Amino acid sequence: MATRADEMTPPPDAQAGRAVLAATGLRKRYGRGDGAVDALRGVDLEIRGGEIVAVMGPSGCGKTTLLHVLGGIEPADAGEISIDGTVVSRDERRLAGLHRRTVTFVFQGFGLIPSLSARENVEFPLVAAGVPAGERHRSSLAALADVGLVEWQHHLPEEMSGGQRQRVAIARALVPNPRLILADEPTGNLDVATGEEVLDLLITSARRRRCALVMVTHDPDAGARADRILSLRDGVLVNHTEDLT
Amino acid sequence: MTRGVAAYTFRLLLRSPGRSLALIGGLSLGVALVVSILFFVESSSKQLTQTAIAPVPIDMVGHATVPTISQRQVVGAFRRQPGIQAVEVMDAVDFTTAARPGGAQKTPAGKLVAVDPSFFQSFDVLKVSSGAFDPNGALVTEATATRLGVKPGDTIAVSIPALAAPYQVKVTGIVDASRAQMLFLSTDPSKQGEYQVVTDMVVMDRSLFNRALRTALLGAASAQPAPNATGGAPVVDQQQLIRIDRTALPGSPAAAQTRVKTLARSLERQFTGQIKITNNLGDALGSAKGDALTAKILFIFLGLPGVALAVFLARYAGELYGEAQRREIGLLRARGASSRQVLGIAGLAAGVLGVAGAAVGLGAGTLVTVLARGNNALASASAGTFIGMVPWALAAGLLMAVASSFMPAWNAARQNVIDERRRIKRVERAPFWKRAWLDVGALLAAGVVLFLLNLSGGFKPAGGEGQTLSFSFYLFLAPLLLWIGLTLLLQRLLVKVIPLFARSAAGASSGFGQVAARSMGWRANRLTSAISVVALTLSFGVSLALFTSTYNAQKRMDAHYAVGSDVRVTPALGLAQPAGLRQRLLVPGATGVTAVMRDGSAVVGSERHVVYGINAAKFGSISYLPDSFLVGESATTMLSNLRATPNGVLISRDLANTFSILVGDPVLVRLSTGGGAYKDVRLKAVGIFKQFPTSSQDSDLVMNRAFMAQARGTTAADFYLVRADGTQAGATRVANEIKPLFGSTAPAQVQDLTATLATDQSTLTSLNLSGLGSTERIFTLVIAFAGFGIFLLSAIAERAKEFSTMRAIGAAPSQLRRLLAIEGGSIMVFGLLLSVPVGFIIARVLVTLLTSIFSLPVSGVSVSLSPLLILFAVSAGGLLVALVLTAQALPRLSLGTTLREE
Repeated sequence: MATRADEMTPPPDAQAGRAVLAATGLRKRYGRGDGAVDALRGVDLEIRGGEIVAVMGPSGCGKTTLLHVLGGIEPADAGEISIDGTVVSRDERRLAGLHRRTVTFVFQGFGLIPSLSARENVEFPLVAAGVPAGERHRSSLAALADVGLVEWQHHLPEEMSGGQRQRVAIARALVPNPRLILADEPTGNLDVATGEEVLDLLITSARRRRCALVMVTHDPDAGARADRILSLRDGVLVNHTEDLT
Repeated sequence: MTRGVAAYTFRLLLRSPGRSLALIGGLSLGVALVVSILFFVESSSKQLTQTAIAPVPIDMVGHATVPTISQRQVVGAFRRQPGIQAVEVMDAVDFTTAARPGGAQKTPAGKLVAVDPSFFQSFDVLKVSSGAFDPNGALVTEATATRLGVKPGDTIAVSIPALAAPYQVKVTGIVDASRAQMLFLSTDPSKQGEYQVVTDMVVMDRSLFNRALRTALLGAASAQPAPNATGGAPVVDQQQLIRIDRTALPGSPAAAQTRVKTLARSLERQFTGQIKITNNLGDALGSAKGDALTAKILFIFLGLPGVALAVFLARYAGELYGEAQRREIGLLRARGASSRQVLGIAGLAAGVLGVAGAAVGLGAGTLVTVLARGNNALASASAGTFIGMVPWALAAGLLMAVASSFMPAWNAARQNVIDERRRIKRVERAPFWKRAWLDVGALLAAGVVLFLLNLSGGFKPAGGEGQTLSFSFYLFLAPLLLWIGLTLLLQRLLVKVIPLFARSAAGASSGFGQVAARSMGWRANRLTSAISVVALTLSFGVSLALFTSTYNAQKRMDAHYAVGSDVRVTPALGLAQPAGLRQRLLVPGATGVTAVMRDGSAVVGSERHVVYGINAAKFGSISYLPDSFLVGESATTMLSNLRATPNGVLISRDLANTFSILVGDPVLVRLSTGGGAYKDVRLKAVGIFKQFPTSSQDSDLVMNRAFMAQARGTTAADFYLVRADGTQAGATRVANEIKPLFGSTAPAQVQDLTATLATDQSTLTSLNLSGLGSTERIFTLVIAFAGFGIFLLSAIAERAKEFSTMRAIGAAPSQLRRLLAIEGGSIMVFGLLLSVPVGFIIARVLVTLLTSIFSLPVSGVSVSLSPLLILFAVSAGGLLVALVLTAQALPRLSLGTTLREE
């Protein structure tokens, strides 16, 4: 059974913000019959504007599934998700539309499109959203400037280091001005030093834009930098830690 | 051990049903194409056999070599022989002349023949056109009746050298003997295969012949023995005319010839030394035999690119699961399986897939044959036909399975070891053909083969009417090398061109267009494969369509060349032509008539040559005289020059070269005026021609008809050319209008395009290639459709993660479909555009093969737009359907699973 711990005191931005995303009773099962696995077993949570949340737990506890369900990548078998107070989980189209404007992703493996340059990768969410070319250009350059990669704008992902790629992915996640960034092990494929740099960049950028960040991580140091830690065990949220900042 | 390998192999095939089915699908496509071509070859062989034997009125003729033989005994024995349908006896005697008693008109030498009344039912060579066949009288041919002015009821006297006095007989009817030439096939070994043309004949009942003439003639023969014991012809040529059961003949000309030869030998064996069989059917089948072999090779060759593409497709489809296969092999090796065992499993798997592909392909090939050519396509196919297909289908299936399934597994097994060895340093190398420049090498080799064949005269027709074509098999090397070279060159160029194109397209577009362009540049290798499959498949269709249309055009052109116009009317030799004949030939449907004179005995220098006399003012509009037939001038100019010069003459290039004649030079010609007399004329060369219509062989000189008539002292035309609307149907209509004009009084040969197409040329030119065209059109569509579909599906499978990421970062499914549509559309457009030049180049070389078949040189590819447009429209439709179907796979991508696979 899911537990909902008392919320810790949120940071000023978060206190001021309403819930960007709220989920109740989320359930997700993989497989059928005896081999079926319950990845999420009734998860309730709320993410407020500007909040940095770390989702931690052992491997296979359902962290990535939770992120995918929250981000609309995978549908929940049961439960409800609302974005900015609007229930979206029952309408895939609506979910997709709202997500596109509100929620963005940062993946462990960067998820860059290999045929596109750094700037084109950053531009992609804007292309999908139908933003005019001029505005796309300006926004993507600004996002690349935020992550310090303007001079790399014409390079292909294969010409960049892992850290640079993840910075491009962060710029891509920031460019639509989202309300929430979902990051799945953002430093998982990087060495420690680069991982710290990237994490710094991600958290700083989110805070600067007052954008909520939910990151799945195994790294206690990364978790320590979050406002809140959600601990997941066997598909159940077992504890909401206090604000660690 | 072996059982273990077998069990594992079957489990492996069942564990990866997608891969197994994809491979079986590809293999069956190739086998189906082979089977369809074999069905076409089979029916073409039958068509060749039928075309070859159709004009043969009498299948075999037995000649008694001793005068005392018992015809009754021979006929009885022959009739009992299985496979014989009818045997008729005929006695023939040469006569020196026939005349009306007391009349001044006489016929030239002719034949008196005696047959039973049943002869007229058994053979269609003599037709009673008026009167009746009476046991107490004789029929005379139309030529004899006209010459002597006799009608039924009159009496004629026939002078036979062996008789002391002319034999008088009452004429009871007139017989049309225009199909009777084969009755008198020369038995002289030096003139084997030649007919003895006899226009004057007297045909009488054998009972009357036996009563009135036989004893006297045989008595004369014994008094004057033949010049030599075996070769000399007896006074009475005692023949047995044999009709065999043609329906029981095998479809293949070679097998049919063997059957009739065996039959002829078994007939001769029954009367050794007494009967000599002339095997007309065997001779006709002999000429078709070579043509059938050529046709077989040609058709199989035409289908080869399709088979190669099917193999490529099967391999490509198999590669979709290549990673699984490599993992499987790696696992096997890790578990301790030896290379031999791994290869054993791969070999057995290829064998099973090959057999399954052959079985499915056999059914699919049969289905496509019915779809393409209708139910009749299989009407003549027996159980033996299908059984005969099985080894071919199996061989094709197994060979293709080795190429598409075993070889990649073998490579993967090898790679596994190599990878181990090169764990530290992985070397990316271009494929061997690229490093060795095999594409350029193949193209150069094709050029060299073409050049050498031209030098050695490999393209010159070596066969004439009724003869086997001598066909150099090196001819096939050139298009084969060209196809391989173009295929590889296309790959080499596309890999370079696609990124350039993609870069420009990306620069010129924005949004998803730009994303698609970047993606295309990034996947140039994969795109090259897809574009190559589509382009080569369509070029295969294009080249076949062009080849077929050129074949048909060439066929018509050859027929027009041989006939001279749409219809040629040749009045019987030596007969007075009805007045106003030229005007009467202007039947409904005829747009013009011109008379042509021919002197086959004219002399130039010391050699005999053929001279034609034409009306230069009208000839151009009635005959088919393209400018390509002439040297240095257009047809209009050359005919105008001839008209302006009454003693002008056009000379064949060969003759001009032989006598070093240039335009403007005087030419001395001796024209024959009949009876061995000649008239010398001084002509002036006004033009040189390479070919001249009306004859495929013997046009040496062409002069003004009026001048020729004046010089020879006769205005009688040797034949008339009649122009209809240029189509085969139009020519037949006009010919059918003309035939009744002559009745039985003035026989004439009316030759139209259809008849010429059927008889005057090599049997190879009589084939109908439309069946092959429609069969291969279906395969073009299926291969292009499958190839394109497989590419798109593999693109989705390979890029599942990329597409999933795109979805996750905001792209809607419809936007991904648009992305796929842009890439797929580019493949379609590139494929379609490239297929035209590639198809045209291949067709251009393929049609050089036709030069060996037709009388006229093939001047170029004949483009018929409608089949090409149909091909493109149907293919584009098929590709669009493939695009729409595969795009349905996009929303089914499992984003969560894909994005987890880090």
